[in-house]
Amino acid sequence: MSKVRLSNVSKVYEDDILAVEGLDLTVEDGEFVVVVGPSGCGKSTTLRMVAGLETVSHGEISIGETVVNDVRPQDRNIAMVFQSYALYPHMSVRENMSFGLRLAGDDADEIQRRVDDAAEMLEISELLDDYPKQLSGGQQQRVALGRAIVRDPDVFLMDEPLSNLDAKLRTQMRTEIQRIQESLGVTTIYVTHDQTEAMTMADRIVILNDGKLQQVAPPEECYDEPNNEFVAGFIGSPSMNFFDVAVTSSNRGAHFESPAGEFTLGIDVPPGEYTFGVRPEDLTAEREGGYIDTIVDVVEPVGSDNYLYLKTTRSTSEVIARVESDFRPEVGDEIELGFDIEDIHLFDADGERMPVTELQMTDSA
Amino acid sequence: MSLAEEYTGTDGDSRLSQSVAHLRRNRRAYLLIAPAAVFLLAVVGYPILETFRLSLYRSPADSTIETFVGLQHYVEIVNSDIFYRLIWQTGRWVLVGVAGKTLLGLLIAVHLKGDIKGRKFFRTAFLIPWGIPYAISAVVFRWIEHPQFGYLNAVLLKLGVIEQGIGILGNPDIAWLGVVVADIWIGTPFMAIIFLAGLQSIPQDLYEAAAIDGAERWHQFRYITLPQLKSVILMATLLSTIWTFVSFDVIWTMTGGGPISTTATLVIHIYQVGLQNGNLGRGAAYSVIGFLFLLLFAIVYLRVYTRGGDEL
Repeated sequence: MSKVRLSNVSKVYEDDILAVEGLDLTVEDGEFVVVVGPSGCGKSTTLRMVAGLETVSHGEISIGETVVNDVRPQDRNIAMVFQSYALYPHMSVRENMSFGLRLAGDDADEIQRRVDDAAEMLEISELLDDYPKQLSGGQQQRVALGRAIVRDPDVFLMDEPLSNLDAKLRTQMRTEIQRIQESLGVTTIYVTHDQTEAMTMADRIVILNDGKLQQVAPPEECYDEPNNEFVAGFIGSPSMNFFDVAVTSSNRGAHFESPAGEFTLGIDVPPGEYTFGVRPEDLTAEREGGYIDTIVDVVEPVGSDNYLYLKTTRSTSEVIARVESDFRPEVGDEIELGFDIEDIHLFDADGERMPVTELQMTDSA
Repeated sequence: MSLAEEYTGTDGDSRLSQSVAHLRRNRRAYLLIAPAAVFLLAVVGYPILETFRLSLYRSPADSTIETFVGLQHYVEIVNSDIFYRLIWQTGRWVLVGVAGKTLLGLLIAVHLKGDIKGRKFFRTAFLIPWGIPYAISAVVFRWIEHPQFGYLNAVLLKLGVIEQGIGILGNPDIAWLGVVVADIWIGTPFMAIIFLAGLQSIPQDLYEAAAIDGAERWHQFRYITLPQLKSVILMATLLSTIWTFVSFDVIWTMTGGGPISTTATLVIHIYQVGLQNGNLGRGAAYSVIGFLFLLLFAIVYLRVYTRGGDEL
C-alpha cells in the first residue's frame, strides 16, 4: 500500500498531441480515487503512465517514496484491471490468477492458498479450472479482479473495468469493487467515463478535460461546488442548465437579464457578463410565481421522477427540469421555473466559479 | 441403435432417405463446389491412383509393354540400402530446413512487429527472396558458395577464417548444408509473413497485463506469444514440411543430388529412377511411399497438436 504522487506530469505523443498537461495529483495511501472525464481527456493515458505502460514526457510520478518514471511496469508492484480484462486465453482461471506469483517464483502452496482466498472472496472458486472463453463477461471481470488481488500490490489501477458489462451487473460489481477495496485497503486509481461510477465509488473524484485537471474533490463537493463550468456540466445527470446572463446592480441585489428571462436575486455579484447555471433537480415548476417562463416541450417519465424538457418563452432555449412524478403537465402547458438562491451557480467569462453570497435581509424576486 | 435413433425411430433406411433429403436441401451448395471437386479429382485423385497402379508394374518408358509384378518394387525398395540412406538424407533436409525457416521466420516476425524505424521497408524487403524463382535463387547460391569465385569464400578468406577456398557443394559431408541454407533463405519470408500476421492478431493488452504481472520479454514470448501463435505455427510448419519434403528445383539446380548422391532426397531419387532411368514402376513405388510418409506425418502431427481439443 502506497501513496501515489503525480507532479506536473505531462504526456506529449510523437505527433505533438498533448494528452496530459501539467497534472498534479496526490492519491493518499488506501484512498479510492476515480479519474473521470469525456473521451480523449487523458484519463487512460494518466493511468497508463502510472502503470508504466506509457512514458512520462515531463514531470514526475512516484509510488510510495520511489520516483518511478524510469521503473518498468514489471518492477512497480502494481496490479491493473483492463477494460477488455486481458485474461490469458490459453490459461485456466487458476493459471491466470497465479501467473504473476509463479513468475515471481513464490512457493506453490502459498500461491494455491492466495488464489483460493481471492477466488473465495470473489465467489469464483468453482471456476478455477475453466478457461476464459467458458466464462460470462461478469465472471471474466471477477477473474481479472482476482488476478489483481492475489498479487497483493501497492496500487490497484483500473481502466474502465465495468464498461463491458450490462447495466445490472455493473451496479452489482460497483459495490463489489468498493467492498473489496475497502477490505484490502489498497490505494486505487479507477478510470471511467461514467460519472455515476465516479459519484458512487470514489473517496475523491479527479475530473480531467483536454488533458487538464479541472477539479479534485469528494463527489458531493464536485456536485455542490463545481470549480468551473465544465465540471458543473459534466457532473450530474441530466446536465446542469446554463444561460448567458448580464448582471446589473439594483437596490434589491443583482438584476439578471438573459434570453431565458429577467429576474432580480438578493445576492452580491459585481456587474458583468456571466454564465448562470442551475441543476434540473434544483428547479421547481410552478404554474406561476417563478423566474423563468417556459412552455412544456416533452415530458419524460422515468418512474421516480419526470424530466420536463421546456422551451423558454423569451428565446426558445432549452431547459430541463426534474420534478416529482406526480407533477405531470401536458405538452404546451405554460410553466414558471423557480429555484433557491443557494442552488444557483455563476461562472465568469473564463468559466471559473464565482462565489455567490446572499445579501442579508433581502427576499428573492 | 443409438439413443437418438431410438427416440426418432430412425433405422438404416431412413438414414439413407435423410441423406437424400440433406442433398436435396443443399443442392445448390453441392452444385457450386462440383466443378472444383471434379477438377481436383482429375488433377490430384487420378494421378495418385495411376501412380499406385504404375508402382505394381515393371514399366520401361514404353508403357505398352508393362508387366505386372505386384508388390515386388516395394519389397526391393524396403530391402535396399539406398532407401534408408534416402530416408536419412530426406529427414535431415526437412528437419533442418523447416526448423531453420521456422526459427528465422519467428525471429524476423517478432522484430518486424516491434516499433522499429523503416518497418515497412523491411517488411517488403524480406519478401523478396520468396518472390524470386527458386531456380534463380539456387543459381545465385551456387555462385555464392563457389570455391574460387564465391562470395562466401571471399569473405571467409578476408576474415582469415579459412586459408584456402572450400568447395561446399563438392564436399559430400557438407554439400547438403550448402543446399539447406539456400532453401532456408527462400522459405523464410513465407514463415515470417504468416507469423507476423499471427502476431498482429494477439491483443496488445495481453502483453501489457503480462508486463504488469512481472513478465520479462522472454516470459512474454514464452507464455503469451508462443501459446497464442500455436495454431499458426502448426499450420505453417505443416505446410513448410510438405513443401520442403517435395521440393526439387533448389537441390536439382545446385547439386543435381550429388556429390555421390549425398544431397539426393526421396523426390530427387524418384526423378532420377523414374524419369532419367526410365524405370517408371520403381519411381512410382517410391512416390507412393513418399505420399504415405507425408500422409502419416500430417495425421500424427495434427493429432498430437490438437490433443488439447484446440481448434485450428
